[in-house]
Amino acid sequence: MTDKKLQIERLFRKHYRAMYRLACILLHDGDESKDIVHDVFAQLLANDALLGEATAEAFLLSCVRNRCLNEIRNRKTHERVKQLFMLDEDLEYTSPEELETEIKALHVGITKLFPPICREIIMLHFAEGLTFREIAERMGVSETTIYKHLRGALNQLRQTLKNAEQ
Amino acid sequence: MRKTEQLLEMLEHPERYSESQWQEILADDECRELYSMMAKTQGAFAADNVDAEVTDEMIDAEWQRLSSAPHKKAEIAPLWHKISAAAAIVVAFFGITIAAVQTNFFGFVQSKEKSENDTETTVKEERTEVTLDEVTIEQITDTIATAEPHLYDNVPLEQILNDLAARYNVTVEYRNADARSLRLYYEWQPDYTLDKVIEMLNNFESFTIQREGNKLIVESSQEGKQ
Repeated sequence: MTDKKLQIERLFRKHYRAMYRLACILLHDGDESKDIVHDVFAQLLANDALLGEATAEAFLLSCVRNRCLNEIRNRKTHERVKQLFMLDEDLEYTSPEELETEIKALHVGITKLFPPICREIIMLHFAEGLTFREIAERMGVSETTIYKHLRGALNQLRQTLKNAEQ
Repeated sequence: MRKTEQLLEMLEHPERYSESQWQEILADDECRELYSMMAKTQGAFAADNVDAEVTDEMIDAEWQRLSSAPHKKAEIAPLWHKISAAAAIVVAFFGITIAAVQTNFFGFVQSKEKSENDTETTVKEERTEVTLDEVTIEQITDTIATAEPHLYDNVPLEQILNDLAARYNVTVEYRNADARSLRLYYEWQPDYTLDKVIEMLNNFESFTIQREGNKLIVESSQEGKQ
């Protein structure tokens, strides 16, 4: 094995988790995210340059982000919404640091959602993948009620993010 | 019905609505904000799963997949489309000093592994040292190659042709603008003749290149040229 391949293997093992995590945050899908990280390293293997250790992480994360954004930008709106991809105006603010700050704030915000049904709906939909109809059936309420509470929950979370910005 | 309620209903069955219906509902500020929060929340939950999912075994398996895959370089002239909306993405890339070697023949930038006092300036090259705080990702990925074959991965046709035009000392003329931003994957080898390059690039179906003396004429072929 060449020195270069050894170096790339070391970088792969060291940065895989952070790179995969970033791709998942943007693409919401494990398989697609694996492919993105795969492609970044495949290109590194095909190129001749060596990466400086000090800047490797920033570079690798930039590569992941750029590939994800291309992936998202290549899709039309009706395709993006199926996977809840971000719209263009949000894509600008997606540096790894910005995303991690937001995620932290969102997690805190979710624990504080009020009334409790708001939190419950968020968990059932996003963590367990239930549709709004399934949630409505499980709770014995109408879908309109679910929508109302979901709107309430999302507005609270938006407020959380606004406060976190300041 | 409130628009936001309609949005949530649409999200329950996104495939039932057309592109224009989606664009219409997301033109509404309140709906866009709501959607934006849905997307961000989804991202936050996706991040949650990562910690449990990424194990040493998974990393091993992915490394195996990568290292056993055929090397792009080893393939013979792979050509396929990667056409995507042009998006110049600027990334922050801190504290990198690279030595840019501007040659009049192919515009490569070499990474600064060589020592300052090496004396291969016998060729008429002008060497400038620059510190980059911000570089576009294209600059990083597309100029990283050294003097030999050059791999263009997801690079706009215009940029590829600019390089090639300088290399072969020809000019480029675009009959219509849309071909410029087509992104391609293309591997250039130093021993290619200009005609060979044109022939290879013409394997892409979305445009055609014709040579007229020292001029390349690029035309996009939306009209279904075979």
